[in-house]
Amino acid sequence: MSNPLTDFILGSGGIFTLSIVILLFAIGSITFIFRRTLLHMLMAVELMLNAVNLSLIYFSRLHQNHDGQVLSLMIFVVAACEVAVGIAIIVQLFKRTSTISVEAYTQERG
Amino acid sequence: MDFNILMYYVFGVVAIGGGLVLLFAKHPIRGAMGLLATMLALAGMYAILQAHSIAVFQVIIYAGAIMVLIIYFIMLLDIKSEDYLQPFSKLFWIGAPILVLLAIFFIYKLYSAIGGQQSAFSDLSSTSFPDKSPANFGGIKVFSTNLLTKYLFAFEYVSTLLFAAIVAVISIVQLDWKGRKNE
Repeated sequence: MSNPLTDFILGSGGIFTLSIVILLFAIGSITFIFRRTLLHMLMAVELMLNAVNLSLIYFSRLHQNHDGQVLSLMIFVVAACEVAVGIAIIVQLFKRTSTISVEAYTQERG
Repeated sequence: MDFNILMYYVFGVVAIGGGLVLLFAKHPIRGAMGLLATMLALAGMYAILQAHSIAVFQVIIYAGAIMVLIIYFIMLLDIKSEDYLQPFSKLFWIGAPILVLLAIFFIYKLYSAIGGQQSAFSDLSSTSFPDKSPANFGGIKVFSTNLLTKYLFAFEYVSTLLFAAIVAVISIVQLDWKGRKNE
């Protein structure tokens, strides 16, 4: 039972891991909200999904339960679908305006 | 210090650094490289957390397939340099510190919720699961047995989502710039 890695994961590694999760999610949301480039926004969503995956894997290890791992695999598939559709939409928008800056897409404004 | 614990800290710092590269890089290809570093570091963390199959999937699916798709399209789109001369919104210097303060507040609340006791997570785990390190945790066998028996419906359902995404991508790409279908 005196495995140092197990003691670390169940002890001080929890705060470290969840801090990483919170910081990655914050960086992803800042990038999504404040970057003016469509590709950066798409990649920021990926970063936030990765942060959520890390917390799922950590709690799966903490509780010795495989449900978190299966759920993170589902998140992989959802991320793949989202990237495929998002890239297709970005290509269509780029064909229209020849720019990836979101300042060009103002026709949705009320 | 155990080598795994040292690498866990290193991977965590690399993950945060890759996220910061994504945030501050001007050209999207540099941001994609930062995101790639984050994904590989997270794969290492998954492996240390005994989720070996998820670590392999992270490398194959995320770093192998999704990032290659993103980088391929970044290189395919002819992005001019004036597209990213103004990388941030005007409210960045107001909004970003607020979100950073919010994140720091969450970390502080997390730390104060367990009262600074390093064993709080351990207690949480040991109350309901007395065996802390069973030999059969992780590994592809238990994982795939779970996936194909207990979560079979979710597995099939998510494959339906994948099929719907394929149909959606094909129908989006077929449109021309007026929204009509290309012949």
